[in-house]
Amino acid sequence: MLHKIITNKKQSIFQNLKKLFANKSLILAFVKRDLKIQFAQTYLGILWLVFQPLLAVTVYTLFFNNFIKLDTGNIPYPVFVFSGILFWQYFLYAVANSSTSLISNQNIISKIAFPKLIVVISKPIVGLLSFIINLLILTALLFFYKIIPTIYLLSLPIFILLIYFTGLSFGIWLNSLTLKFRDLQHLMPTIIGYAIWITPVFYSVAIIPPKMFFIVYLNPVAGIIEWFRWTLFGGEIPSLNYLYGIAFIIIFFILGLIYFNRIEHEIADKV
Amino acid sequence: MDNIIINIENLSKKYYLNKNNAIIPFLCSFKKSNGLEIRALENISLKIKEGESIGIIGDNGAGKTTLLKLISEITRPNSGKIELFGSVASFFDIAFSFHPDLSGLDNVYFMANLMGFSKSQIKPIIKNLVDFSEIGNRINTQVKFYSHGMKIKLAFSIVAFVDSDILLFDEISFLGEDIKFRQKINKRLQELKDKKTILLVSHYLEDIKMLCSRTLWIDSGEIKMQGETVSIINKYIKKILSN
Repeated sequence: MLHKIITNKKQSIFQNLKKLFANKSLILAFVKRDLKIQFAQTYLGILWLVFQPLLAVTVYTLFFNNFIKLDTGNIPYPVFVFSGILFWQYFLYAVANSSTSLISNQNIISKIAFPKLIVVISKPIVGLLSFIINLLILTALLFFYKIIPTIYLLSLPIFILLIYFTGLSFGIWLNSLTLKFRDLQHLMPTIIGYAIWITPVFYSVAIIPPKMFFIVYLNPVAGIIEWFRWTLFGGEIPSLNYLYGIAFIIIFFILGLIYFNRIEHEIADKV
Repeated sequence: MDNIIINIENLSKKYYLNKNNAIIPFLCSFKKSNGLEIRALENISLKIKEGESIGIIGDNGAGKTTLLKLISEITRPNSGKIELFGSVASFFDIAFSFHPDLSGLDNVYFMANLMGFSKSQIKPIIKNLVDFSEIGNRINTQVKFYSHGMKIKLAFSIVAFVDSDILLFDEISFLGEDIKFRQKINKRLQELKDKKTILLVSHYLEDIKMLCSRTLWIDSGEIKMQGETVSIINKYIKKILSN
């Protein structure tokens, strides 16, 4: 016999995470739905996912390889920059899109009870589609420039996991804070856009003066890109100091989950 | 059937409307935002027996929808408790929860998923559901191309086929459709009435008279009175007309 008691008591994070794992099919349903909506809304659909990164690599190559020559060692610039674009664009997508997941799903959140975290975690999963397309483009570039990656490229799944959790952590925080401060949804994409300057996407990290390196070390996306580049092109092993960025993300993620859990019961009221 | 299926004790719910909705003023002011406190429900206690059909009436803002949202766990109470002895399915203008860019079929699957039904539970009834909705081939068209009537019919089809012990309806009119569909809905509702526990919040007093044997009148967050439907409705109408 079903027996449930509803009170003002908040559920612990572990209970909530357990509920989340029990709802795997719902997570899949959200991902499928978001993908369908994305392609229904854009006429170009999948073509846009290819066009966008190609446009980025063209512009960066033009400016930072032709007009100004930034040194990338003996790695051809287009491949170098694309290896950064791969992760940077995913991060941008995850942050820009998931910061308003709760608000944009207001009409179901206020009417049906379900674990709200699902709404936040599904968007970065949807972003993985364009990531995979970018990966294919990268493969084509590697082929074109006749670059054979090192065996360490097999650790790619770890990088994918890391960038997913990086995007997800920001998504969780932004969703929680945007609930209270609506202007964040307009401010954040702009602010995050500037973060490209502390991420070695279109430049080699060697141009950063040593005193400023700590900023780059704290940037998890920088660490992911640098180590990924090493698995592709070999050469000098990147500094272990990048692990500070990874540690930052782990702490950021856990704190995000805790805060989200604290405000979860208010989401339907405030969304 | 004398078992209690919903037991509510001293239930209270407040909403807070914050004034500070922007981050820069908040950071500059450093004080806690002075918001408005709205007492939606105050100390509600209620026992509902299995198989009852209860109507809930009252003015706008009385707390009726809040009560249903608390029972369906969409939001949490500030104090008190709700004890449930059965599964709950709630319907709050469900037609407006459809995503316009998805087809009717995709929306139905998604809604059912959200309500906790697995694909294996939905699949066997999907054909009957679609037939019931009278939408035909248009079920594969995007909902943004549906007429309002089609959306309502689709929403009702989900209602008609959802298998849950307790059904909560918020501001859904059962009598607003074309005659043929209305008859189908009525037949289905009578079937549901015999087996399920129903709570209906509505301004359509005829719907309440048709479906509910007992009615609650909620006013300013409290149960003003409750009892036999026709008598409560008459008192309610009398009060409105006298204002």
